Amino acid sequence: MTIDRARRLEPRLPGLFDELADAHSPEYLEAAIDRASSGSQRPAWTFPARWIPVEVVTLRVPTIGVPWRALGILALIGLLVAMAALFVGSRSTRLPEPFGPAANGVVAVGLGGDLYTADPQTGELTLLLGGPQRDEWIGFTPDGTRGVFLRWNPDNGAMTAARVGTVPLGGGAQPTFVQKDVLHGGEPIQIAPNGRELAFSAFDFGGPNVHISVAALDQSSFRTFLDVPAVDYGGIAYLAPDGRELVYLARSSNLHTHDIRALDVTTGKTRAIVQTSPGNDIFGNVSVAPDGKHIAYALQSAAGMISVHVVGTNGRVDRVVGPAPGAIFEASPQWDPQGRRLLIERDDGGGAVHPVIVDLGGGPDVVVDAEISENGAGKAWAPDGTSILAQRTDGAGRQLQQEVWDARTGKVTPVAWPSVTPPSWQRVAP
Amino acid sequence: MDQQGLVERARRGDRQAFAELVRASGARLDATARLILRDPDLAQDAVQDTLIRAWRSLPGLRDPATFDHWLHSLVAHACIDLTRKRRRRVVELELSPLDVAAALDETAQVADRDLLDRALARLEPEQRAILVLHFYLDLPLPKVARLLGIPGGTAKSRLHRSLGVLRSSMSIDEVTSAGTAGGSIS
Repeated sequence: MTIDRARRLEPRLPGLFDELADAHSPEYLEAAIDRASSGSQRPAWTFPARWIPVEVVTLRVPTIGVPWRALGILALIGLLVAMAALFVGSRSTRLPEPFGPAANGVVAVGLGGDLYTADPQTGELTLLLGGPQRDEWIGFTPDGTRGVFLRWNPDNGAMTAARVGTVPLGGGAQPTFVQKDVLHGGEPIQIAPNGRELAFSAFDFGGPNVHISVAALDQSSFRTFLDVPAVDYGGIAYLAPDGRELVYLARSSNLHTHDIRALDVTTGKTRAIVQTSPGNDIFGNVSVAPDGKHIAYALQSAAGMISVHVVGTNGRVDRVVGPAPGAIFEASPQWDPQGRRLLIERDDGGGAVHPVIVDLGGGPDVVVDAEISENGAGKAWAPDGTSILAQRTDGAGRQLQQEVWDARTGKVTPVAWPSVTPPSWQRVAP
Repeated sequence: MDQQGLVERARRGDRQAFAELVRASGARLDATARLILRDPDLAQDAVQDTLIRAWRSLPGLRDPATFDHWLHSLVAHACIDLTRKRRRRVVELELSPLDVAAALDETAQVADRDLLDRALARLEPEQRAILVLHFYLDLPLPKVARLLGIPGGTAKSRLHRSLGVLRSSMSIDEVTSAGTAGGSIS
């Protein structure tokens, strides 16, 4: 009954907040203004984006000696040859590697609580999971064999929870769900490279703490790391190549900022990758390179400037990517499948935010011919790295038609299918 | 002079322009801080920190049109920073007497407001922040997400969760009020 009353209050929250706020100019304001403006301002030229020459800030860090690189390439070639030999004649069973480039498969389309896939060439839709339940796409497993989704439970009057499940893309099989209904939508979910587990971070019902859980898709195991002080900023991501570690964000020991840490999902041990100090905080998401050796993230300075960094997963050699001349906001990095470019969002000082593809090898930036509103955009690299599937929103928060951004030219092409789904692209074997 | 003109002047070190800007936003800044922190003294500290940081960093603000958004971002972060500093301290809950007669005279509107007030006290500062930014400052959720530096999905999830906890807290509060017969936790 009281829950019902609370629900009835929700539409009136803005008015109740106004009454509670009792906004009036506080008596201390004039003194606070005097005190604040009695100090000196930070000169404009001290803001990095205004003066650091781009050729300096884009300097690449020296890499390790040539022998390792050569050996690595030789090993990779040997591996590819071995794989090619192994899979000759068994094309129908070939699966893509869980990280790195792959061929483009279908894309996820959600309509009216049902799950579809769409052929990106023809726009043809195929129903994957329909019925009275309300299902919502999460994406595809790294091997491209299953779809991952949320199934919402009926509203229980307090908190509506959802189950996370997977369903074979080939059809004909029932979906399977992991244990526990703890998700409320929006939580980060990552499929392990082994394709048998998934990890997610979620709050316990009604509690203030976020936990990281690792669950087997066949319900054979469910582990929650209660003593890992994760926060829900930035999500979680498996590190290549074996997925033994998960990258997550945690409150820093200084209690002001956040650190990037790694959790060993086999032992529960954690380690620091990036430790911040007061005044400099992680902004938004962390993206893991396909080789598992680097991560990209955005750092916000005390002055409010936000710039993209790349750091080794061992915590060494942290470097700034850019910023472009005049840029005041560079954030939301996403590695391409090859691990050579970053898709970022940039405000070059003109007030508009554009997607930009930054070549870490020093090539020219590709500015996508699209503006991202303050309401953001969902983005997913095509597995072959040639384009990006995106869904922007307009200034009123309405989702716009999905579109494909050409990663080489920045050209924008609307897609042929309707969708209100976060963009996701199936990976298939080349 | 319009706000953008004042921001331009303040960025060049004009203290009078800065004062005019802050006077226009001061009531809302103070109210935002009080709602998130639930402590007038702490709110004053948060606003002071906000103004110092704003004055110092104004030359780095490239787009004057984003001044309000920027100031809201600063005050929200200042509030969260302050609560994190204080988390290690022991918080004492005072059981204050409830004026039953007054309560009976209150209108339903006032009762609802008080119910919300007590429920808010049970939330984490980050949860209060997202509710205040969304419902009091009337910012759309994606903008709140960008302001707090969290993904849109996370903001949606956090708001959903915060509302859930708010409902549960309201329920507990009603039961507590009825059960304690004359006392309430403040």
